[in-house]
Order: sequence, then structure tokens, then C-alpha cells
Amino acid sequence: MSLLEIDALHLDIGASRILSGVSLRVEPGRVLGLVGESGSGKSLTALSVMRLLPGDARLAGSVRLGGEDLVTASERRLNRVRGAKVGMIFQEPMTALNPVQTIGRQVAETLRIHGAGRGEALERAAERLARVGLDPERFPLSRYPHELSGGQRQRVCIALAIALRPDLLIADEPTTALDVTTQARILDLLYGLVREEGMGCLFISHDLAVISRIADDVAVMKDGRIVEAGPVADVLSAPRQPYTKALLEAAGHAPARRSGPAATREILRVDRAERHYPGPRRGLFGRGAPVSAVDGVSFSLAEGETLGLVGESGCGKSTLARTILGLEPLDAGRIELFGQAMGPSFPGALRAGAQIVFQDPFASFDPRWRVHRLVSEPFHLVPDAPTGEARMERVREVLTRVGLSPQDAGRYPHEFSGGQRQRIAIARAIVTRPRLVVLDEAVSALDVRVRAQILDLLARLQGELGLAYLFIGHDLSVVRAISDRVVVMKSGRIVEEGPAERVFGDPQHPYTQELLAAAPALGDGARLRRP
Amino acid sequence: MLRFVASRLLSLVLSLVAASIAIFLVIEVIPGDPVSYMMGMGASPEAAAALRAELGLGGGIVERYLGWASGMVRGDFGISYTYRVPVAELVAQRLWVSVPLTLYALALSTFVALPVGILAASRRGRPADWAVIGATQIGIAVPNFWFAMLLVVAFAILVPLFPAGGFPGWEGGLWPGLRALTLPAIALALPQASILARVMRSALIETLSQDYIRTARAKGLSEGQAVRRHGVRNALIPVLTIVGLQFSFLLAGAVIIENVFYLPGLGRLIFQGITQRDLIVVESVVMLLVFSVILVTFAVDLAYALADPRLRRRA
Amino acid sequence: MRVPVQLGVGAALTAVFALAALVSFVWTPHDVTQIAVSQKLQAPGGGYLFGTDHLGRDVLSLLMAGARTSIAVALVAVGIGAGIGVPLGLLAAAGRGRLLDEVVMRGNDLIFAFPSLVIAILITAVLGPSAINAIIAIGIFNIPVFARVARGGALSIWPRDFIMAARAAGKGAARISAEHILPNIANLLIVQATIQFSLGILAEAALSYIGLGAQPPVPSWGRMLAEAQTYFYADPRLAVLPGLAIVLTVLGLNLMGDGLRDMLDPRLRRDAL
Repeated sequence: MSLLEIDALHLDIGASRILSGVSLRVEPGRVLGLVGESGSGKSLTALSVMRLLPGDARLAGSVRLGGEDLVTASERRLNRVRGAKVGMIFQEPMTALNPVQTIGRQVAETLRIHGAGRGEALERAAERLARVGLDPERFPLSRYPHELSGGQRQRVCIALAIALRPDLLIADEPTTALDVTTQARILDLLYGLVREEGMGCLFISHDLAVISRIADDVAVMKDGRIVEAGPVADVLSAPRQPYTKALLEAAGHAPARRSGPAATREILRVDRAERHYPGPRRGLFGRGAPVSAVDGVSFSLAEGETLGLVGESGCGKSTLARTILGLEPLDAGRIELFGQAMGPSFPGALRAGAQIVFQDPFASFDPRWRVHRLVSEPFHLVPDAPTGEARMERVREVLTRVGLSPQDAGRYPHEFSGGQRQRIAIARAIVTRPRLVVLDEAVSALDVRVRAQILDLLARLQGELGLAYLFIGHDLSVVRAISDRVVVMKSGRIVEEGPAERVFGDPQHPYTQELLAAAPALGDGARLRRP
Repeated sequence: MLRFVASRLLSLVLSLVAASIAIFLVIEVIPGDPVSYMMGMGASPEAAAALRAELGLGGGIVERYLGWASGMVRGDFGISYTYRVPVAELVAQRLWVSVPLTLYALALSTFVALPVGILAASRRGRPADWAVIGATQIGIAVPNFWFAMLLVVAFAILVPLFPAGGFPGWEGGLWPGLRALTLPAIALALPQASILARVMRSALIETLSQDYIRTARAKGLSEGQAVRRHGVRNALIPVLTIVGLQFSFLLAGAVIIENVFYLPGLGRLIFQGITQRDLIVVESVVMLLVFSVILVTFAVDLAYALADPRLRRRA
Repeated sequence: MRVPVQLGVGAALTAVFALAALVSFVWTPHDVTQIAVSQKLQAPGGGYLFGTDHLGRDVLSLLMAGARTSIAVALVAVGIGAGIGVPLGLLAAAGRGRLLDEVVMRGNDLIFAFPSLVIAILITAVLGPSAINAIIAIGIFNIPVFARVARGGALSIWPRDFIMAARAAGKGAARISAEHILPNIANLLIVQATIQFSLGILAEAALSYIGLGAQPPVPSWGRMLAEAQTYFYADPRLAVLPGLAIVLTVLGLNLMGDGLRDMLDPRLRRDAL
């Protein structure tokens, strides 16, 4: 008998069917990776096990934990199971903890609610926090969540989920919101806990590389069904189902692009650029100490070239991109775009030659504007921009170029999927026929198959239009696949620079080495699972 | 924390100075000379000048402002033009009606509204919730002075439980005073309680949709336990601000309600001051009301910081 | 998009009173300025649907004309508040963190510190009681409300990527505020406008009740209540009818505001898509 046995689980919420006949097994001391794209039903599978579903949800089938059916269990009984026999951690550590209670109290609450006395609960909370790497010497129980980083908060969440040494731990995208080096440490911690305490673990992720790193077994989910399941080594190296094959292919996808820039004419030069933010306002007159976001950065970019800019969140890469486009003032140093110094008097016609695509396809458009108006907004920069029918014609042309239909010009952004919206964003970026496009995490929010399509589109447009890209990203494999050269940024400074193959193949700086070691890759599993 | 208190104190003093200047200027532009009003048409110029000096009406505008403001700080509010007694004395008498009335109404509204709001939020979408939404919607729409008139007919005339107006003073004991203030306090509290219940409801609903409530349920807390331990306390933080703001609404509402019930409070005083052109009284009472609102806002800010550790440390 | 029930009920109530106010410009059953003591305190029926008051005036006509005063005062006061407050709020949001923002917001806090009715009383004391001065007094207190709502809404829009895209297209703060920010906070402003409208009606009634609002012969619900107070026990009809008119108008506006909020709330709407 397995620890967790899910059989023919059906879930309906309102009028829509979410899960259709899901069956899974989790064994003690092993990690089952549940992988799928957004909307595949993987998170709701986890919440069905916990029976933490919205009020209008209807569940059928069976979920047996140690032989006990949870689908028919009473709410009273479930409250005894949750936290004691099943622990769960969630994606967003920043909001998963109560901001007005100390971490010690929140970990101890798991113990208190299941019958421990106050003193005993606090003692064991301290012990569990120490186990997840939050030493009580440095992180006393009296800390509040806002005093901890994202990774530390996720450790608190793990501590409160495993406080009672549950039989089963459910982890729902626990590292998705974290930086790659933090992710690596949390994965190691979870893996160690499962082995050491003999828990079963249901680990949910959209990222095949993460799954291959931590999971023993894997189940692939699509549209509320399990498509394929088996040991990680088998499924990921020899997938049997076309969907699994497509996912794996897209995850490792490298777009076909011509190698190296043909021309070497420089179009962007950044010279010891600095950008500081004033400290937070304190009362009517005071200010805190300024924060340095970009701190003496220099590099250049040639026509038709792709420069990858890699770094973890908060390293200053997005600030740098905005400064290059003149959206933020430069505090020191010099930025030359198309041979002219960037500044308040930079001519609009030249600025039209540099455009930007953002990360979030849902936030990138004014929801009240139609596509043609959105796409033609950069024409504001061009003194003799086409108007009327000529402008519409240009809009239809770029829409066709990015793989949409000319009729889409009359629709609103909410009528499109995430991938289609990112195509609209690209259309907006190329409508003024620019020579440089800044891609600020432009594929990071997309599902893996859509991401592969957009990367192909970007490579094709580069060939057709002779575009130079400044490609900003945190996913090393994606940056590697599309860049000619790479710069690695940390805390506002560039720590390493060079041709993409050299930097990724033979990193020199310790930080680059750490990043590469931390980044999960398909086929990682064997390394990590060695005893 | 000390920095925070210091910065709030500074803004408190600045607000007070700005408010006092604004009030002083408004009073300055009011047409009509209190001296000729007090002495009538046939007064001799010498007598008028003497009275002018006595009332502190001589000198330039800056001088007069400084004289008034420094007097305020010392507790000397000047002398009433009509009653010819120190304003501070008048105000002190009236405070014994207005402050208990405001606190009575605030207590009524808070003690009724919070449980009702919590009930509605935890029964969201069910009949109890709809009943609360409907009742509060009507409660907000009723003008408090009209509600006061209805209360008088119902509970002072048809069923004579409470007096229809007037105030016996506190000398006769606590009960007669409270009895006289009960109907006014209910009339004052009704709209405020309705608003507060709605705010409590939506704050709690908002809090219950937070991720940490799901974390709490995953620990094994029942729905009720999650609402009590993590929902209500966090939802109370925004509600606190509204309670603070209501203090100012209640003070303002009291001006009218005191007129309905013939209560000798600050509201009646300011109203009489205006009709009798006793501007020094108006000036002082308005300043006092504004001072109390600013002080309550300050207290709410501090309470906010105590309740929310994020503010405590950052500040 | 489904129209919420409360929006329908609220809009219907509001429409009835707005219509009564409009009709009263050209026609009322009787002349409201005509005093006929011989006809005083007539019971409902006969020539008078709701009877007559202590001066023999037709109560229905007074109610219709009173609706005109209430709605006009509250509407213009909302116009003053939104017309000045919204640009101020947009300006403050566009200059977030700068001194300008700080000054606008502190100024707002200062007005909030004055109990609104007390200051309305003060203003009418300075300028003399009249409907116009009631408008000014109520309008001034709408300014910080709209400024605060506009600033809050604008601050939630400014960090969005589409604003960054507009800036990348070379647009300045004023143009972005007009083209992107204002249309996206219009929902919030409309809902706030209905709330301030209903509060304005309550405030006008209160001011007229204590004699600082509309002056005779301008008809007003608040003054009808004040005049009826003496006759309340003898003839409750005179106090009940204007009170009900106020309650129903305010209720209608509030229901409409709530309904609009539900219908326009982007969070609720996203679920429906």
C-alpha cells in the first residue's frame, strides 16, 4: 500500500470540470513531481488532497492517506489530518505568513492547534526552525515575517508545515517566486527532509528542470488528466507520450539563428553608468540613505547583435534597461544611443529607434485601448509618423509579421492569450522600425511551449529586420540559447562579460559559477540523488 | 519607534499651526464689527476704543493672531463678546455634555458595528449577510436629525422612557445624565454604526482572501479558528482608522443633534456664537474641535504602528 | 455583463426623484410660493395628494421643488469637488515622493481635520446662509475626498507596464494622466461621485434644517423638516414625508454606487471573463 493513493479523482468547480480521473501514488521517503503548464489542474489536485477547495467545488473518486479516505472524511476529521498528517507549502512566501504575528508563534501554532502546550510548542518550533536552517541564535522566534527575505520566509513555511513530522508534504511551486541560488538551497533542504524523515512528498512545478532535480517519480498533467507517469529517469529521458515529448523539447529549445553579428557598427555604448534611488521619505523633510541600483556599469552593443543581461532579482538589470531608454535619469557616467548622448533633450525621432518589451503580458497594455491604438503608440516619437489609413496599414503589417491576423487590430487586449499578447507587445516594439529592442524578461511569464514559439519569432524578426536585442533574463538556459554575448550583473555591477558560449562553458567569476551550479537543468537528477 | 513618534508629533504641531491660521483668517473676513454690535449704534468712540482694547481687537493682523494663539496655548481663550465671561469657562461647562455624548455614541456604534460586520463577513452571501447589507444601507441613508425626531416621538412621547430634550446636569447623579443623552447618542450612532459595520465586513472579507489564511487552514485550523486568530485581528487595523475618522463626524453631527434635543453642548455654543456674532467663541470652539480631531488622528497613527509590526520597525 | 439588482433598484429610485425635480421646473400641482392659511394642514386627498402644510402650501409640490434644491446643491458640490480634487490627485500621483505630492496630501489631511459640518456652518456664517453658500461649503469638503481617491487610483496604475510603454513612446506625465490614468480610474471616480452626491443631499438637508442652507422662499426638504418639528406630534405626515424623500433619494444613490462598484470592479469582472 502506498502512502497516498489518489484514484479516479474528479473535480468540478461551478460549471467547469477541473480534474477528470486523476490517479497518483506517493511512496514514503520519495518525491513525486507533478508537472504541467498553467491551468492544467496540478495545484487543484494538491488542494483536493487537503480538501481546501472553494465552496462550490464537487469532488468524486478517492484520496487515501495511509488507508483513510479523505474525500468522505468529516470537516472535524480533516482539521485533525491537516497539519498533523499532511503539511503544505505554497508558492508565494511573501504573502503566506501572517504579517502581524511572529514567526515563532506561527510555527508553534501548528503544534498548539494539535494539542501541544505553550512551552512545549515554542521549544519544538525553535527546534524545527533550526532544522530548516533558521538558527535561533540569528533568527529568534520573535522575528516578524517582513524582517526576513523571501527564501527565509519560505523556510518558515516549511518549518510550520513539517512541525509535526507529517507523513505527507505537499509543495506547490515552492521555489517559483525565488531566485535561482535561493531555489537551489530550498530544493536541497526539501530533498534532505524527505530522505531524513521518511516523508512522502508531492512536489508541484511547471519547470521540468526543477522536477528532474528533486523528484524520484514524475507525473505529467494536461487539462485535468495525467498524461504520463513513471520514474523520473525513464520519463524524462525516454518520454512515450507526444505531449511529454513536446514539453521536453520546448524546455531545451534553442531557436535557429545565424551566428555572430555581421556588422560591428556600435549602436549603444554604456560608460560607467550610475543610477541611485533617493532613500525613502521620512516625514516632511528627511530622507533615508540613497540606494545604488546601477553602480558603474560599462558595455556596448553592436548592430544586429544580441546581448544577454543575466542577474538575480534586485541586481539592477531592469533599472539599467530603463536608464538606457531614457525612462530614468542617469546619475553619473554616460550612455550613447546611436552615437548621441542620452538625456532629456535626446531627439524623439532617434529614440523611436530603441523600443522595449516587458515581462507581464497582462500588465503591458492599457485594458481600455484597442490593439491598433496600442500598437501605434510609439508613433508619438516620430515627427512625420504616418496617419489615418497609412498608419492602420503599418499596424496590420506588423501584426502579420508577428504571426497575428490584420483583423486583430480592432480587438481589445483581454481577448488574447498570454502568448498572443506578447506578440502584440513585440508588434508595438517594432512598429517604428527600430534598430534596438530591449527585451525585459520578455519570455519569463510564459508557459514553456509558448516561450519556445516566442523565442523562434524573436530570432526570425532579428534576421528579417536586422534588430539588435538587449535580452534581460534570469533563466540561464534561455539567455544562453539566444545571446551572442552575455554580461552577468550582481548588486548593480557587472561581474563577468564575454561571448555566451565562453561565459556559460567556462565561467571565471565565482558568482557566475555559483549561478550556473544553482540553475537546475534537465538531467540534474542523477547528481543530486547520489547519497 | 521613537523616530516615528517624533515625526508624528512634528506633523501634529504643524497641522495645529496651519489649522489655527486658517480659522483665524476665516474669522477675520467675517463682516460685522463685534464692538458696534455689542454697544449698539449710539456708543461714544472712546468707549468703543476701550472695549476694542479689552477684547484684544487692536493692533495689526499678525499681532492679533499671535495674541490669540499664545492665549490658546496658555488656556486663555479670551472673553466672550455677549456673555462677558472667559470663553474657557463657557467651553469647560459645555465639554461636560459634548464629550460624554460623543464617547457614548462612539461606544454604541463600535460595540454594535464590529460584531455585526464580523457576522456578515463570516456568513458571506447568506441571509444574515444580506440582512446586514440591507439594514446598514438604510442606516446610512437616514439623516440623523430626522431619526432623532422619530426617536423622540417613539421613546419620549408615545412610550415615555427617555426625556425629549434638555440636560439635567451630572449633579443629580450618573443615571439622569445618561438617560438624557441616550436618545441623542443613538441618533448620532446610527449612521456611523452602519458605515463601521460595512467597513468591518469588507476588511474582514479582504483579509480572509489572503494567502496566510490558507496557510492557517493547512495547519489544521478550522474555518472559525482561522477567522478569529488570523482574520479579525488583521482586519481591525484598517477599521481602527475609520473609528478615528468617525470621531470627527460625531463631533460635527453633535452640533445638529444638540439642537434637536436642546442640549447645552459645544454644538449649541458654536451655533449661538454664530447667530450672536460672538466670533471669539466660534473661533475657540472650532479650534478646540480641530485640535481634538488632530489629536485623535495622532493617537490612531500610534495605535496603528503598535498593531502593525511592519510600521513599528520601518519607522 | 450582468446588471446587479441593486443597481437597477438604485437607478430607478434616483430616476424618480430626478424626474420629479426636472418636472418641477415647468410644472407643480400647486404654486409653492402661494400661502393660503385658510387651506392649512389639510389631510391628504381632495385637491392635495399629500395634503398641505401649516401655511396651506401643497406638500407634493414642495417635495418636488425640494428635490430640485437638494439635487442641484449636491450635484454642483460634486462638480466642484471632482473638478478641483481629481486634477490635484492626478498631479500628486504623477509627482509621487516629491514635495508637491507631500504638500497636496498634507493640505488634504488638514481639511479632513475640520469636522465638515462645523466648517460648513462657519462658511455660511461668513458668507451668509443661502443655497449657493451651502454648495460652496459642501463642495470644499468634496475636494480632498476626490483628490484622495484619484491619487490612490492613479498610484496603483502608475507602476503598471503599460505606463512604462507610454513613457517609452515619449509621452509626458500630463498626457499619460489624461490618456491612460484618468480612463482607468473613471470607475472609482464614478462610484465616489454617487457616494458624495448622496452625502451632499444629507448635508444640504442638515444645513437647511438648522437654517443655514436654502432660505425662504426656496423650497428645501431640510427646512420642511425644521418647520414640521413643532407639528410633529399633531400631524406626523409633515415630518415623515420629507424625511422619507431624503432617505429614498440617498438610498437610491447608494444602491446605485454599490451596484456600479460591483459591475465595474476589475477584480470581479476578471472572474467573469
